[in-house]
Amino acid sequence: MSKIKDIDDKTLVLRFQRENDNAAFEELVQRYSGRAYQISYGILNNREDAEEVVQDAFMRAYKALAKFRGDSSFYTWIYRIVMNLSRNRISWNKVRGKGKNQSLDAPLRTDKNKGSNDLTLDLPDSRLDPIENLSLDELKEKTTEAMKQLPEIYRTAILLRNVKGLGHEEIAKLLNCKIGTVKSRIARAREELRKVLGQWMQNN
Amino acid sequence: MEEKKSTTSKSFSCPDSETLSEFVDNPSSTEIAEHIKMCSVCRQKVEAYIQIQQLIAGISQPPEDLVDKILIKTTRNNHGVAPQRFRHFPWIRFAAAIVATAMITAYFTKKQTASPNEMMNQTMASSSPTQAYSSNKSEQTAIGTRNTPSINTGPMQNVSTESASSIEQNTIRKYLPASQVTHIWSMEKIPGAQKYLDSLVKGEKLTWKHSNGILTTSLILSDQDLQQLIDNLYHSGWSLLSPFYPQPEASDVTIFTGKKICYNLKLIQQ
Repeated sequence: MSKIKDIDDKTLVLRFQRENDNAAFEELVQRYSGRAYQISYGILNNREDAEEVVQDAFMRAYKALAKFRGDSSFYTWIYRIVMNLSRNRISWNKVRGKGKNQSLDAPLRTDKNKGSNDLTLDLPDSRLDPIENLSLDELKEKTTEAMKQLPEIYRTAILLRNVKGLGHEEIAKLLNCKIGTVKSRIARAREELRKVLGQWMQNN
Repeated sequence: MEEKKSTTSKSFSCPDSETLSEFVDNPSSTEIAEHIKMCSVCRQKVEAYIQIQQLIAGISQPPEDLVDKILIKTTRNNHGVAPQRFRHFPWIRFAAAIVATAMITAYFTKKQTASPNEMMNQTMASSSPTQAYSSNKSEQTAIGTRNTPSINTGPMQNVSTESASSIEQNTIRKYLPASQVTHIWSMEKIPGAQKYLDSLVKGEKLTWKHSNGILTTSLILSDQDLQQLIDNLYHSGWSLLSPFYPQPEASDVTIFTGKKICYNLKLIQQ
């Protein structure tokens, strides 16, 4: 009686393929759906779309896992599916005219905030009173807004950096670019967010 | 004076934003570490980058019911997708249909010959408090009231093969345990309970975790073994706080298929 949480991905895949063990697939869903969501959210920047894409990705994985040969790890495979479906969704949204797309050549900043270089963000801890909670909610809302202002390539990079287990190398593979490019995009996104949010914090 | 100046103003040799950003992801450079100790500007930048990452983590949290939704569309989907391999082996589906027919026949045969006590148990199960609960956690979907598309089969409604399904006719239900079940048990003494459970699960060393007064462990066992284990724990004086199936002494209303179940236990002291 081995504990399923201790079983590695490869064995879980084999159990699903050989024994039709749905519990094995369920464990894989438990392990990677959250991170898959964060990847999709990183690309789409929309909660509903990201959720739909992840559900779709795991449905496809469920149907195709029997043919999965294990050339790559399961998580690389599912992340790749999520990436592709997310990009398809972007194309679809463009066709439908949903969302706002920015030129990759657009300047990072949309406003000219001066004098915010020295600011830091003071995140309240979990023991908050209602007023502080409201501030945190506002801050999250502002962060979401600021993220939307970022060009897609920077936003995607910084959101992928947030996915547990994804280092610069893995992100570079997913985005088909060099590691240096990933680092540069993350840095620019952070710097831009620091300026925008820092200014907002100062004003509030 | 010189030291004070260095902590409040930007040094001309400050690393660029990309270097500082990389330091946030991989704080291995002692050179940068030394610098940000001395330079308040760079230190604040690094702190801000870290805090931004925390904020982003906050806004990109997946929905709590995401796992559940995926499982409903995959492993717990009654009428949806089937694994690809079954499409290549239609005889497996045919065999499965025969087995299902046999099980349903057996069920109705048993129902017709059930004693009044058995009928009472089944009726009680149908009005179990499990129906009043709902949770986003996927392993807690052993609730027998998930809304799934049903096929109108005349007198037999809501027959489902999903993990947490029930077979219902009038007020009688039978439960198919979920592939993952989490139960919270309370007892007088946790250390004794741990030893007792270790003794019940022979041949395997359970991994225990202790956090905030709650002791947790998990194991995988067949549905019949799980029912027996739950009965044993119940008869040893433990109180089951979770309403999710399988419940103690509920073998009459449980459908056993021999499948493996991941059973998570959380023990709290009374």
